[in-house]
Amino acid sequence: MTATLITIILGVIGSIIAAEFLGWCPWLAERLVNLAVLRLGDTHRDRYRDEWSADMDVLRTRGNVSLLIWAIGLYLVAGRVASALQPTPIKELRENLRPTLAETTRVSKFALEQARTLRLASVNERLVTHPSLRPIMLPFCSWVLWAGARLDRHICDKVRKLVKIVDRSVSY
Amino acid sequence: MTLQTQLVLRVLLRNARGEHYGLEIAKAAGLPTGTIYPILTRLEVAAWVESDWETIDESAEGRRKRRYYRLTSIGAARARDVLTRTKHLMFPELSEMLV
Repeated sequence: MTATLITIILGVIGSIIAAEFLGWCPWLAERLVNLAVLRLGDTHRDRYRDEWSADMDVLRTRGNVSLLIWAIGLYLVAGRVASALQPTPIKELRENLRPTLAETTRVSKFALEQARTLRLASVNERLVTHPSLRPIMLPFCSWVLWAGARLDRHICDKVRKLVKIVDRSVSY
Repeated sequence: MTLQTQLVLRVLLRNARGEHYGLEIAKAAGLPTGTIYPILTRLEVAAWVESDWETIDESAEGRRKRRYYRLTSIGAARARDVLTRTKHLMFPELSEMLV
């Protein structure tokens, strides 16, 4: 009789505690999300608070225990999010190099265009100023232009390869 | 690159122009919901992924705005490259058969 009574009392107490715990789950989850947000840097807190709160709304529909488990997981990974957001030498290098690489490509293209223009101008000038030398100068100038274009392509390829290597090495 | 990151990239590549929010990506990739955030943050810092707020009227929709993620054009190209290389490394016989 006593054992039955104890079982009933324990059952009632257990269900009350479970109901109470389930009721507290959303509050606990919210607290954990706030604590997770506090682990991030000042500049990122608002964004992640809003993002995680929106996700929390989705999870609320799945049940209180799932919500709490997600919040615990979130709190545990918040440190990794914070470290990913923190500037590191390699990230800074990457950020600094990106515009430099773009500029290098732009400047090299411009320099090659300039070199081609100058070469053409100089050949043209020689042909105009020494008409008597035209028969000899024509093949010579053609060779200079051909060799120049080849050199341009070679330089262009080298620059492109170099930019690609640097870009890859500082990528993810 | 970790296997989890590759799974996330695969999900994002499946619909490269589409937008996905964190939980949706985690579900599609079969990852625990919490693990998705550091991965997305790292990818975003590396400029492989970009994110933006959903444009909805919160009061009309009855929910908060979600943060949507999508691959950048550079990110999509690199993701394809990485996933192809990884596939070749993991399944060399298969890649030979495919060739």
